[in-house]
Amino acid sequence: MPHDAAAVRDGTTNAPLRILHLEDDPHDRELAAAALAGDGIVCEIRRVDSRETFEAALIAETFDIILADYALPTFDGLTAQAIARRLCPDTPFIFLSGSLGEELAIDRLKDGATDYVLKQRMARLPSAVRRARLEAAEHGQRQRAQDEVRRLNAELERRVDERTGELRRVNDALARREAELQESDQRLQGILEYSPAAIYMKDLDGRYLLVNRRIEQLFGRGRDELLGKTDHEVLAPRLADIYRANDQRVISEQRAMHFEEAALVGGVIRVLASSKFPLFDPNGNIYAVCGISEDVTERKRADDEVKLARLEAVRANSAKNEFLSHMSHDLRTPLNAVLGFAQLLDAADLHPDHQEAVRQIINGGRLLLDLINEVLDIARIEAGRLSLSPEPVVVEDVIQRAVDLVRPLAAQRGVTLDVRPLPVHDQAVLADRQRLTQILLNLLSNAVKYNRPEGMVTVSVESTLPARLRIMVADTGSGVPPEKLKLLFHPFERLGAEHTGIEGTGLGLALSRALAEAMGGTLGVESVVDRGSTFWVELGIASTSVDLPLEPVPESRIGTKPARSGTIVYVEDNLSNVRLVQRILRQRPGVELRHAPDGRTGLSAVQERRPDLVLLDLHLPDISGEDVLRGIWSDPETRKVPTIVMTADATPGLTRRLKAAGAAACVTKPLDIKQVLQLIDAFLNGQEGDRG
Amino acid sequence: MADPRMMEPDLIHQFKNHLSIIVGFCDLLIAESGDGDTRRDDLVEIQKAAYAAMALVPELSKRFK
Repeated sequence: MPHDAAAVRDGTTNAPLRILHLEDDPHDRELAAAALAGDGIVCEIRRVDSRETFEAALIAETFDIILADYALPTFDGLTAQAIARRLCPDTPFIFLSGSLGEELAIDRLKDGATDYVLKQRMARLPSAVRRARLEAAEHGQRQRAQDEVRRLNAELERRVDERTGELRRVNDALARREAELQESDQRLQGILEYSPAAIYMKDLDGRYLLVNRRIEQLFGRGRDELLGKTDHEVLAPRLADIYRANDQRVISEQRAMHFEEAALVGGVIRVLASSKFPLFDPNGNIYAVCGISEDVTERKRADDEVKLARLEAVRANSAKNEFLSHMSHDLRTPLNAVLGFAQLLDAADLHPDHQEAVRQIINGGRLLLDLINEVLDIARIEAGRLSLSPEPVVVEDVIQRAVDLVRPLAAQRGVTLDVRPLPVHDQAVLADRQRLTQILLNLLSNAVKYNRPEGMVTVSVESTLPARLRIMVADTGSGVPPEKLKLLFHPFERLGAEHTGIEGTGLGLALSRALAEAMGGTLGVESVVDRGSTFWVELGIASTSVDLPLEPVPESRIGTKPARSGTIVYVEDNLSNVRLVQRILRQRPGVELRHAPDGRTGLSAVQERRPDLVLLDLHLPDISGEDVLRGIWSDPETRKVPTIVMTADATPGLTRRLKAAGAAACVTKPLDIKQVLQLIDAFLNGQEGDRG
Repeated sequence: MADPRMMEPDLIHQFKNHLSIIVGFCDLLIAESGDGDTRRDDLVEIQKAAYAAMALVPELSKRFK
């Protein structure tokens, strides 16, 4: 058992000293024990006298000191020292011998023995034991201290290694992060440098903190000249004022804002589209304004050019439409006279040759009228000014009306018209009734005109998805080759029909398709050469709440007796038209016609004469026909006088507006003489009671 | 839809064509009518109107170009 060196030195240890004594002589054993006891050393002595017992004792027990004789009958001290060094190297080993010479003793000490005591000088044993014990204790203490130091060193090394590992990992992570940051920084720097936009950052005083290459180019100044400077220090005062004002707005409103700013580059003004936004520190305080400015001068110029071109196109289109509108009126006026007088002649008893000539005149006039109307419609559609009145239109009715209108032509050409029963009764489509009729009339008259003799025209209807209805007009004509189908819808493209004597303007299909599309529908064709063509118009299905169609001449008026008397004021500036109406009224000799050449004269005439009927042109030299109408209607004394408006531009919208303003009826120029006479008769005979 | 300017040659052609037919037949009828024919006045009106319309064609043609 190890003893504390201080306690051993002070003699304060109470533990008995455990001694292994290798000795064969009992006498010497007693002498040794007596010497120790005599010196006050409390000890327990284990005595052995052979190699076996010596070795067994060392293996089984722990001793503080080993005392060994050098020469034994069956054993020797030299071997015992070797065994002890092997089994308990820290236990002090003292030779106690009577025969150990000086030289041998020194050898043993060199070999690790603690001491040697001659039996002849046994009195020295206690001090040798004490010293050996003290040295052993001190050695043990040193050993323990060294062990502790080693342990502490090992712990320290472990901790150092651990910490070093941690630091290495942290360093590695930092190095990686730094590399990433560097890479990111390089990337950002690259983006900044090569960005086509000028990128900059200014502090709250407006001093540049960061600028990229583009801004250097834009301002014509190096980075060193810009960083730390304000706009007022590097730019023209007016520009600097604008930039600063915009920066201040971003600072005060604390949000991203967009500005259009000017820049002076090489003496030339450029336009910049600038996005500026505030930058905030971690506490949420704004510390800088960042800006990205792009030179949009070329784009803006191009935009301006496009806008100008668009405005020019709109202006040109508007001028074109205005011109077409005037042309329409200008052409309709003489056409009105042509058709009016020709109709009068047609009604007269003429020589058959002359009658044929008159019919040629009427036919030419009507074709010219169709041409004007169609060109005008196309111009209106192009300008987006086509007035449409979409409403639910019962397909059955509109087909029947168109078929009835085309029936005489079909009969004339020996073509049979066949309307197939509709899959659903009273099915309606959303369309402008008049325009849908116009489309169907065009398709039907084409189907008749371009049919073979004794041919057939079939009208059928089928539902298509989604919620649409297709009206098909099939003929048994010669058909159209596939490569020419598209040409059918080109204006004035008649695919050679102009040389066949078949009349037509060549605008009908182009206009019909445009009208169908303006009503949200489509118009198409399928054709097989030598078998015929099927044209179709497809429109959206509507609910079947339908008003009756507006008829130009109510049925009730047909068959009205000729008026015998009455006074009519005709407000018209065109003398041809006046002469025509005068000529028409020759058939009513009792009727007096008073002509007013302008609106104000007409209004005075109505107020003074209180006529039975007013015929009113819309285009008058002083005030408009609508103003005259309002004047008549606003005076309670003249309100009862029926007014028939005669106009060359009778669109459904205008007709509704005129009727709302007090018109009793509207007729379109060129005049249908029969219709005009029927209306005049009806009003003068007082049969037209309901003026709505 | 085609630009109406593209239609110009056809349009002018058709106007002239129809007006020529009207004027032609009208001239014919006037030539064949006697001085005392009451229908002559009506024919003269047609002729005047047709010439008035014909006079508009150059303006129409000019505006399209």
